[in-house]
Amino acid sequence: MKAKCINLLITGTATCIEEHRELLTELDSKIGDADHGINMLRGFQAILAISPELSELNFGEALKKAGMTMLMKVGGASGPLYGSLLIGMSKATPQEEINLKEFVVMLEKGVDDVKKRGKSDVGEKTMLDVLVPVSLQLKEDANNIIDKEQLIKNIIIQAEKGLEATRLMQATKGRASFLGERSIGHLDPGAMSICLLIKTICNIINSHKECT
Amino acid sequence: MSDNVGVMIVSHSLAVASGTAEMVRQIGGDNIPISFAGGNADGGLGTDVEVILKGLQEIWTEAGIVVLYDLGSAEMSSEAAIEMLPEYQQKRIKICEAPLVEGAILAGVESCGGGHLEQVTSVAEKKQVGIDKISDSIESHRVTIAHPIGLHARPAVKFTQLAKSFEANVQVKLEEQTVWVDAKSIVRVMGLKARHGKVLNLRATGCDAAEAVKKLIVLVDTNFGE
Repeated sequence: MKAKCINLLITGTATCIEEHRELLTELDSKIGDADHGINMLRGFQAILAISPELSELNFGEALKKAGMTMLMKVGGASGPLYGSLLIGMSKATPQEEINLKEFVVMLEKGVDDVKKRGKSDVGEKTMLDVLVPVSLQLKEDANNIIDKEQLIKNIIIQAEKGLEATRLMQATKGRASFLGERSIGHLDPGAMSICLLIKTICNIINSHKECT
Repeated sequence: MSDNVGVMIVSHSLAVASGTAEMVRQIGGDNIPISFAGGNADGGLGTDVEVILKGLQEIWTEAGIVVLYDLGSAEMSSEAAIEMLPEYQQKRIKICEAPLVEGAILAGVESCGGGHLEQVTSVAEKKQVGIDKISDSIESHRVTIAHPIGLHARPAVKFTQLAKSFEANVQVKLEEQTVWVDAKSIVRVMGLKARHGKVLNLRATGCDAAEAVKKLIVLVDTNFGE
């Protein structure tokens, strides 16, 4: 069950990045260095290449190894950032099954590590503008018993809202910050990639009983 | 084993990284450990944590390493690489907030002159550190530079090396200026541009302060032994 789920997540996220590679690159060409699509693809393909090995591991070890792969293979800002997210989450992953409350703690740790690595927080036109509201929503929902479908709906709403909010923000971190006010009016490519990935993961969890 | 601080250069471009390393090497020669990382694994623009990590391991000594980088993700990749090293090494690797080429060269000069990690870092970052450790109430001494070229190149090396032989915190400035600098830093001392005929002020604190000031004045008075 666990191995099947890890496999589904790896294949699903890698396909998601492959399908949206051009979109990510296009967004990045407006406010960055036009390499987000190719960099993310390089990272997720490297994870895909080791998926047989990853699916043998428990969730924590698999997350850590996937994070290290992102860190080592990506070659742009998304490497250390996605790497920190995954490795951070792995630090809080329980040995056995993960329940929702435990996942909330994992995500919080991952998000904290992204903040530290990027020396950034919400409102700076980055992936954190999606990650933070999603993490907060999950925490709230974990404390109120709601059904899975509603939970997933809530997450996707927060992710999309967070992504859209980056359009009106002025970038103060990364290459986009060099543009100053001219960065306003464009969606942030990092917020886009994390939003797409969150939606993909939600869909996988929703439609496969192996990942419940 | 080298006692000089290592210089690690991290750029998105391999050409920039290797070119900068070449410039530092021209100054530092074989005295200072230098390594560089540039470009991603596919040979394009980017940063490669693995290469940075290997570079740091290659040039590691107890003297420590300063890292100079070009843009944001090079800093993040450098941080990530450093965190993979043992903790005692992490503490002696400093990422400098400085322009890549200029910072690397200043760091190289300071390291080559025997500067320790904190000195090399502060010189690369053009920060004034350690200068307010001496109270203004400490007596300062005057000496006029008789040497025809002034306190430059060779004389500056002799001056800083002598200063370093003392425990004392020694500072120097031009009498006409107000900013004191670390007399043990080659980059700072040369930065005074103290030419022939200028008056230097010297002051020091520490157990051998008086001796340090006395010997340095003698060195200047005797034209640096030249």
